[in-house]
Amino acid sequence: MKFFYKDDGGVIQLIELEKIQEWSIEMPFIFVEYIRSNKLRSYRDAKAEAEISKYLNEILNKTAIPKIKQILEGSNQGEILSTLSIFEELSETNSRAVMPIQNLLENLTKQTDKKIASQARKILVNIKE
Amino acid sequence: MAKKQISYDLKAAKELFNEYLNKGTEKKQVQLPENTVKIDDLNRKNALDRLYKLIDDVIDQINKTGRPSIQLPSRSSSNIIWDEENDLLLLGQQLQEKQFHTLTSVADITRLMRILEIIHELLVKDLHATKREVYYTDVKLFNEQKVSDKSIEDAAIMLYTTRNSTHIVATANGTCIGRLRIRDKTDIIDLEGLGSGGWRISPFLDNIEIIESDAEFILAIEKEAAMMRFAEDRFWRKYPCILLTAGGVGDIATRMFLKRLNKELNLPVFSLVDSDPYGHYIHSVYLRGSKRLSYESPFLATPDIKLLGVLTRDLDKYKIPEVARLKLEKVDVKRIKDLLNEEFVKRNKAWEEDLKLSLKENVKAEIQALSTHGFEFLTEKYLPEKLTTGDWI
Repeated sequence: MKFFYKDDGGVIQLIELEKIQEWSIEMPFIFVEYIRSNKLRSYRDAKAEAEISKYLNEILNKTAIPKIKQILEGSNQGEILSTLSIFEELSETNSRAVMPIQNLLENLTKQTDKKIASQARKILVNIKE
Repeated sequence: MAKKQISYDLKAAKELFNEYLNKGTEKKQVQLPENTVKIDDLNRKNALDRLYKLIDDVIDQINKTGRPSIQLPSRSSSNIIWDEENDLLLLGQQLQEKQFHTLTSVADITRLMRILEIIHELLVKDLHATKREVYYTDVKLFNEQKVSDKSIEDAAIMLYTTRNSTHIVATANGTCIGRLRIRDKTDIIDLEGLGSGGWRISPFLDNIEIIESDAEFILAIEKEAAMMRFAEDRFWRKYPCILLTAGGVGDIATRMFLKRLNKELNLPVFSLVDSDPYGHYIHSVYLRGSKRLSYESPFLATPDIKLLGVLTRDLDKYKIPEVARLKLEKVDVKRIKDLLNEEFVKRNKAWEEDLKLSLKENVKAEIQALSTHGFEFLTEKYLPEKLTTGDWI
């Protein structure tokens, strides 16, 4: 686990990056959004909050986004479609979790493959709603 | 008149947590003694590989001699070893042989092969089955569940793995609540947000991952009734902790989950049990494992668990009235004497003294006896005070 120390002596432990790297493609996004929306403020410690925010960004930038970028910018259309359908389902119930890939989705709407472009658009609609 | 609220800082418990945190980074793998069997907790792929290797060996023997046999570590009491250094019960290296062609073992080996076939199916399909379900897959062959249960344990030990790795699980009875967030596949479960009932510990622990916690200690509670008191008082909000109960002796899933919490979060673990020999036995099972499942002890035991209470010496210290105390029964006296003969008790002088005090004063008491001082006494005075002063064994 990764430790974050509070000024009052309390300790917050979050799962380490190495384990997150083994997760399914959507899980890091769900985790980051969960901690941001549900836990961060409850720690009541500005320093710990800032350090955890930094760690959550690290999860997104080092693991979550590069992994999905590789698929969405790749040439395997079947894989792109199945990944998009996972994120479409996620965007219906937890649209904030999908926001970090908004730019990638916008790029996909310009794709010549109609199925891919339309699915990316659907997710973007869910994000904006 | 307003009740005077004393504030406790849980100093001693926090110090223990800090000590564990500092040690945590330098924690070494448990080194098992040479004369014991090493068991591995395997993922699905590795469990399948091990199963295929075992079957390949049998096929080889069939081709070479036509009379195959299987060797597996004996689970008889003479092969159970107490590892003093790690305070664990382990399985020694005595082997037993089961031959495919003798009348004495043919029924046994048939059941064992059927169990391996079931394990194969579960692993390939990534499914889990309870021991009861496994029994019902072939009632005619197993005849009664204790027979299929024995074959399941034999199969796990034959593969040198934990039973959970075979995807055959026992029904779990444990509940957990408090400052903990876990992941079950893509679901995040907040153990603070499940009402007073808490989270029913899943027997499918390979699907569970600890993802966040700001707890500072874990309390393993013997009884559901005491757990309800803590849950109703939302104890973990005031004192950051994780509460867990198995409603009696810890079942496999509860013990395995506790072990994982302790190991992964480096949290100190305390047990709260009745002040009687059965309570002390429950503590001992968390501490060093049970004899029957000695081969899984490294995955089930929590060797640094502390016995927080209720201690015999607490009865006077906290002025538990005579009417709330009980006399020992014959069976209690026998159990205390049995415990006093155990090496792990002899090695812990404070524990030995407390058991002897119980014998001398012919007394025992339930956790609920503390409520003679009011319903909140347990959560507002007794526990916080003990965790602050370090009054544990």
